[in-house]
Amino acid sequence: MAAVALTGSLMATSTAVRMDQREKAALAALNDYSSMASKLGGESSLTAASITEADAAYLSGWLSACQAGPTREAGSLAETCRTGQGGAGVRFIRAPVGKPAGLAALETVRGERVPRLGDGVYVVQLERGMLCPSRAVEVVVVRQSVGALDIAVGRVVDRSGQAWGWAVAAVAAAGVLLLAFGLTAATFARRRLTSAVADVSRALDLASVGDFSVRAPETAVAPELTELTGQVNLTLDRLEELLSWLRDSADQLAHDFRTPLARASARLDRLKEASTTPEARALAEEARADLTRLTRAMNEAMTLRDGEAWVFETVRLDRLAASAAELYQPLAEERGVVIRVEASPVSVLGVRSLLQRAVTNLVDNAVKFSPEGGVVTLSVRRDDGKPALSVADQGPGLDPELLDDPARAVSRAADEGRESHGMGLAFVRAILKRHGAAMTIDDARPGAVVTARFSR
Amino acid sequence: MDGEAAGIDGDDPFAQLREVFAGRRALLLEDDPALSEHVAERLLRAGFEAVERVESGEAAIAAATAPFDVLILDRLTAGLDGLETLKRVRVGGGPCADAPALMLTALGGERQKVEGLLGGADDYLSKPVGDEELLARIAAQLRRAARRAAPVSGDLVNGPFRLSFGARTLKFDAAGASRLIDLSPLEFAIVCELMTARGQPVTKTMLWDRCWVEWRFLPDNFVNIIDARISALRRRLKEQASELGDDLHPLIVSARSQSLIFRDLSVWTG
Repeated sequence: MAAVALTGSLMATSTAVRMDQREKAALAALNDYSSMASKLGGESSLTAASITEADAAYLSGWLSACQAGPTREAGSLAETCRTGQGGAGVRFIRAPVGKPAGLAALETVRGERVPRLGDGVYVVQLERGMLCPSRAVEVVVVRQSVGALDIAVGRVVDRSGQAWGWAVAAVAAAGVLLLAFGLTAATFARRRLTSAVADVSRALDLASVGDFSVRAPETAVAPELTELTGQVNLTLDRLEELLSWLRDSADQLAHDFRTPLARASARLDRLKEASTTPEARALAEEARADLTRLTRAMNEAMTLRDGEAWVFETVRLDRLAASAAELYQPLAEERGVVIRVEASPVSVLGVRSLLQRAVTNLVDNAVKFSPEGGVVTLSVRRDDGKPALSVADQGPGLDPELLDDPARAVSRAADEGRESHGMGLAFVRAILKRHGAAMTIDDARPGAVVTARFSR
Repeated sequence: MDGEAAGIDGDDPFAQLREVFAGRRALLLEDDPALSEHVAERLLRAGFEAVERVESGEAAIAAATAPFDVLILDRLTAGLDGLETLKRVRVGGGPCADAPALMLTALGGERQKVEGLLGGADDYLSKPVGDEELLARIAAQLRRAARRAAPVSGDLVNGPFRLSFGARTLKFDAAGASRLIDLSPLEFAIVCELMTARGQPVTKTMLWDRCWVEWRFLPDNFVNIIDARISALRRRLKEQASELGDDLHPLIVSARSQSLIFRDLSVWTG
C-alpha cells in the first residue's frame, strides 16, 4: 500500500514538476519573442516589405546572442546537450525572400499546441540528432508571424533540473519517512495484536487440557478481537458449566445406581447362603456375576465422566508401557508368554489413570490370547512425529467381524457366554477418543496388533 | 448365631477376627435402611458388641459424643454428608475424634477417594462391598489404631524372619543360617504389608491399594495379577528359606476367596 502510494505521489510530483519546467521554458521563450518583436519595432530599417534573407540571418544571429545573454541563467547548447539541463535557446526565422535561418526542425516538427502556456506556444519533441547528437530533448516553442516574418523562438525544457531533483528527493524522503513510521506503527500494533491473540490461544489451550481457570483478556486492541475474546470467554464459561454439570450428574448417577446394586448384591449373598439346593446356589452365583459385570460397565462409564478425568498432565508413554509390562510379567510367565518392550521416550498429554487403564487393558488382552511361548510386543515410538503405542500379540488374531464393528462382535460373544478379544477394546477406544487419539486394529499374521495413534 | 459361628472352621482367619472385634462398638451412618441393616448384621455376626445405626450426619455427630472404636460413614447422605460429618467429628475433639473412619460410598471415582482421604477418612471403600473386604479393612484400621496408641519401634519379628522397616530388609535367622532375603521393592512391600497384619487376613484389593501405588485404579483382573505375583514370591521365599520345613511352605497362604495371610511362625522353634 505504502509503496503504491509512494509511486503514485512520485508520478504526480514528476508530472507537476514537468509542467512547471515547461512553463519556465515557455516564459523564457515568450520573453525572447517579445525582445524580438520590440527589436523589430525599433529597427526602422527592417520593414515588412523590404525584409530579405540577409535580414533573417541577421535577426537569427541577434536572437542567438540575446538568448545566450549574460542575464539569463541559460546554459549553452553544448552544455544542454551534455547534461540534459534545459534553458538553451533555439530559433528559426523565415523571411518571404530567400533561405530561412536557424534550426529547420522547428518548422518541420510541429509538436503539440499548449494553449495553457500562451498563444502559439507548442511543445516540440526533438529526437536524438535533431538538436543534440546524443539526446532527445523537449523544446517549448513560440510560433508567431511578425509582418512577413515567420518566427519560432524556443527554449529547451529542463528535464533533469535541480528543482525536479529536489522535488523528487523531498517526496522520496517523505515517502521513506512515512514508510518507516508506518512500519513501526504496524509492528507495534501487530505485536499488541499478536500478544492479545496469544492470550486467547493460551486460555483455549489450558481449557483443552481441562483447566478452566484462565479467561482471555478483553482488551481493546481491535474491535474484531474484542468481540472474538468475548465469544471465546462465553464459550469457555458455558463449557465449564456443562462439565461441572456432567461431573455432578455423574456423581448423582453413581449414587443412584450403586445403592440398589449394593443392596441387590447383599441380598444375593444372603440368598446364596440360605439356598438349600446346588441349583439355587448356582443361580444366585450367576446373578451375582451379572451384577459384577453391570457394576464394571457402570464403573467404566463413570470413569470416563469423572471430573478428575478432565485434567490432563504429561504422561510418558514409554514408562507407562514399561510399567504395564512389569505388572503383567509374572502372569505372562505363568502362561509361558514373553513380554517385550521396544520404547523410545515419548510423552503425551493425558489423564494418567485413563491411559493406564487403556494400556493395561491392551496388554491384558494380548497376554490372555497369546499361545504358549508367544511374544507380546509393546512398542512406543513416533510415527511421522506423532506419538504411537502399539501392542502386538501372536494369538489367533481378531475376528474379522471385530475389525468392522467391535461393539457388536463383543456383545455377541458375551451373549454366547465366551470371552472375546474385544471385551476391553470398546473401553480402550473410548479412552483414546477422549485423548484425541485413534485406535486401529490390524492383522499381524499371526496375531493382532492394536495401535493407538495420538495427534500430539 | 452361635450355631453358625460354631460351624466355621477354627482355622478360618476370619473366624479368628472375632477376638479382635469382641467388645468393639461401631457407629454406622447409612441412610438406606436395608443396607444399614445388612452391614450392622454382618458386623454383629463377626463379633462386634454393638453397632449404633444412624441415618443422618446430624444424628451421627450427636451419637459421636459416646466413644466408638470405628466409624463407618456413607459419603452421600441427605443433609450433612459423610465427609462433612467426619470433619466435624474430627475437629470436635470428642471421644471419637481419633477413631478410625471408613468411608463407605457409592462414589467410587479417584477424585472422591482423594477427597475422602484428605477429609480425614482412614480408608475409602466403594459400594457394593463384600463382607470379606469390609471385615478385613475394619480389622486393619483397628490394628492401626492400636499401633498408634502403643507404637512399637524397631523391627518386626515373625519366627525366624526379622523385618526391618528402616533398612527395608527381610532377614532370615535359623539354625546357623543367617541371610538377607533378596526381594524386589514390590515384593518387599507385599511382605511388609502381610507381616504387619500379624496373621490377620489382608484382602487383595487392600494389597493392591498399598503396594501397587503407581496404578491409580483397580484393573479388572487384578486378582490374577496379584496371584501370579504372589506365586512367584512364594517360590522366592521357599528357595531362600529352605530350612523351614515343607509343611510351612508356602509362607503366604490364602484365606477365603480374596485374602492372603503371612503364616504366623511365632511358635516355630527351628
